[in-house]
Amino acid sequence: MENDALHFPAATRSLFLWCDSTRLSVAIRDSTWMFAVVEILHLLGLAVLLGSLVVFYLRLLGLGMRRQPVAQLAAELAPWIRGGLAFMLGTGLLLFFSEAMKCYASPPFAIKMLLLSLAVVSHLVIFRRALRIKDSTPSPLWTRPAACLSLALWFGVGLAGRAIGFQ
Amino acid sequence: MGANCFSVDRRPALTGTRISRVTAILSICEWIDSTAFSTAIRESTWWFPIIETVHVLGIAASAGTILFVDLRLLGIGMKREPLSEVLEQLQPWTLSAFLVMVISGALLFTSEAVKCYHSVFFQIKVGLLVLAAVNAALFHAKVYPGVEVWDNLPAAPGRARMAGGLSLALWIGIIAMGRAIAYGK
Repeated sequence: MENDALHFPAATRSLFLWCDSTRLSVAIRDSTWMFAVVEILHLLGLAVLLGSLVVFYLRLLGLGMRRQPVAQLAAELAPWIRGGLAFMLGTGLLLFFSEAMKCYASPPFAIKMLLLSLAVVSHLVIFRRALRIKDSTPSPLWTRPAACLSLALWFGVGLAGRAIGFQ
Repeated sequence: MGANCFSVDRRPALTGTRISRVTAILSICEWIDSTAFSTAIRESTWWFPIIETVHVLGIAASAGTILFVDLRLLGIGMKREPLSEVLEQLQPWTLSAFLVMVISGALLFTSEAVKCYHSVFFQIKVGLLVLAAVNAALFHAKVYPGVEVWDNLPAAPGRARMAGGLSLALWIGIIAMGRAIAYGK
């Protein structure tokens, strides 16, 4: 737990301190129900975001929605993935502001931010390529390992996120 | 305050059957809490967080796949896919993920049965789960058999849309109540 590699650099401390002291942070911290409500919304957003990602990656793995062309399914899921991510980022920022100094000292939070960046980048790369997959050709070799990697990253984000609360 | 000291409780005495039923459920919960298995989960540093994390991430595959069937029924999402395709291709994942949710949920309940007994949120959650089950059963028995007629239409008939909307609302409630159990009363 005391591993320095899992912490944010000391130079960022003042930024975390500022986030922790804004009026918004104080309002959420002082209210009895606001944190709980935002956290429940964050959890409902998880169902939408991870749910749409699961459907997309199941298709890439050839385990679900097999009769639908990958590109067509990807296009239909895109607004839900985008909207779900935006909603998660919005509610997540509110949660972060309300306890920024706790996050500063929390290894699970640092790991979550690292995994989140990797997950978003890997998803963007995979998703853009998936939109170009032609249905007539056999599915490319990269799809299965890429889907496994991306799914593992996204579930890692969820796992680390839950761990922040157990600290 | 002083007057209350002399006031008499005028509520009618509970009937014998009611007392025994209430006590029976509570004493079963107390017995569950006292078992070695329940104590082991409660007192271990890792078991409760691990089971709870599995339970929370299971939402993605269970509620997440249910969501897309509901969105398709409502004509909001996946409009270009036939409804039967969305439902039948996702159903095995919904059901297996739901099994994971039931098992991990039962383990969480076992570790704090008396707390759940006293929790309003737990009671509401169980009620909503029963309603979601009834809604799904009615949909599969009464509405879905006629799917050939409207399988490819972007908008399903009213009864199907109602089942989708109800399912969506019930699952939002189930997830919210589930999180609320951990916040207390």
